[in-house]
Amino acid sequence: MKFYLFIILLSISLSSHTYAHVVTDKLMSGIIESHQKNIAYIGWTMQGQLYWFNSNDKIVYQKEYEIIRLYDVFNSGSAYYLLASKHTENVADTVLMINSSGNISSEWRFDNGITSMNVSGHNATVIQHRTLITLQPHGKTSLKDDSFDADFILGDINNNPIKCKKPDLHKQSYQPGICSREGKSNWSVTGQWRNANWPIWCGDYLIEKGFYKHFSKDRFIKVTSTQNGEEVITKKVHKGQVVNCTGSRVLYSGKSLFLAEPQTLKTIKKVSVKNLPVWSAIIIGTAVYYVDGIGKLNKSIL
Amino acid sequence: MELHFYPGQLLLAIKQAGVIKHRFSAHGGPAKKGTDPHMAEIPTTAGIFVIEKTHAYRTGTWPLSSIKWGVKLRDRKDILPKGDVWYQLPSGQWGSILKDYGITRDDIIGMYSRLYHKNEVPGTWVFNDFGPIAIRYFKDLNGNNILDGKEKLSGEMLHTTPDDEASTFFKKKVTLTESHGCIHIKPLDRDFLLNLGAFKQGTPFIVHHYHEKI
Repeated sequence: MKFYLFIILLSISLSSHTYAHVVTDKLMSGIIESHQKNIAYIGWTMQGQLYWFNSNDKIVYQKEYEIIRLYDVFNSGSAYYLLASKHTENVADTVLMINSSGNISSEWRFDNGITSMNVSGHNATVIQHRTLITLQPHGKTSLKDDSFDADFILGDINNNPIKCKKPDLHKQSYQPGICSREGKSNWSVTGQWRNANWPIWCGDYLIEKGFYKHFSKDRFIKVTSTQNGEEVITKKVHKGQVVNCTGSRVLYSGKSLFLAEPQTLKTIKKVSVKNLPVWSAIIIGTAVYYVDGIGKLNKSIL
Repeated sequence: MELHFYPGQLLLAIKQAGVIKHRFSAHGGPAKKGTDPHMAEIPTTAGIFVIEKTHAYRTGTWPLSSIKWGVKLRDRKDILPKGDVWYQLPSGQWGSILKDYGITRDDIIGMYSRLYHKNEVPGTWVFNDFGPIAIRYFKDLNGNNILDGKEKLSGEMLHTTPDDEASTFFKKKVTLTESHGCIHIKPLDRDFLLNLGAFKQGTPFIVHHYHEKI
């Protein structure tokens, strides 16, 4: 009887628990879904290499760009934007737009560095010291707002950006980080995030990653409703960080990689990760792809 | 020697044999409770206290005070993607400020640039909100001049601020600001009082009410 019970419990456990295999021997820093036909996703390295993968996880082609460091890659639906440093070490000062073949179609240079970048649909903007700048074709820019009251745009709903401000950490002037949406469905959420770990926006929720409760070293995932600004759930997670919002679900890592409902953080699937932390993760169909702590690109079928 | 603080007059005084010998500017908390949502500013607590010790203070309540003033730093701009700053642990090993406290190398360079006008990582931590040393005191419940029994150090203390330390470094005028309940003093006054022996263990410290005048 006990044996059968053990088998039943084991099968329940295994059904929500999957294992991953390494896709390529190339080391990656990040991964992003592709909009291209016959290309499933693109992997990239901080040194400026991009790899286009097909749905069989084979590298179809690759490109290397002359940059010092690549910080992030954005998909606009018809092109990709690379946020990079090309002139100054440790400071993002260049944006490259590349087409589906990986050829550079436009380049923008920002000598004083970029605070953050946002791509929403076909619109790309950067924030440079509280100035919002729109990227125009052929390397041109247009000033959108020279007293933009935010450091980071979390997302955009009908041209109405969700703006976030970094915290002021000084005791004499302390202000927590704040994200807000203006207009008809306005809301505002304050949190304990720092510049190193901005929250992410996931449908009706704002999710703080690596939340520091009362500035202790403990890590938490905290979910706040963007409907009313109220905390929904806070969960202590070992080395926890949120890596992505995929539709109505959130991918976050702790001792494993978890796919969960944002409103409860209840685990739908758990993927064992050999090398923590998880730097980047996406879901394509029934597969989750993630870049682990040593840069290996892994795949797991959910 | 006695140390007296008159919060209503923003005055710190040294009394010897009942006579005022020295006067210094000092700024306590507000006369009425403030509105800081993180930690409301409170009036500095009146009473008769005893100085216990001076030390580099650290507290997890304020992020920049999680590291003691003067802790050695190491610039690790080589760490991807945007560098890191390491701080020396009491064991001698090095810890990551980014991983442990979520404070980026950019944050540190920005703060150092604002205070000392240099776009670099400083050699030591100069951002602790309580300055290089905090002067701690306690209410001596049993009158033996020693911190013992149920006595504990007051959460209010005398200290400088990073901004005032930087102004002093550049020989600029220091204008003290209101505290959350502690007593802000000027760096040069702190040094003078320290040399005078005013912060020695056992020195009586009287915090007067806001309406009391010298």
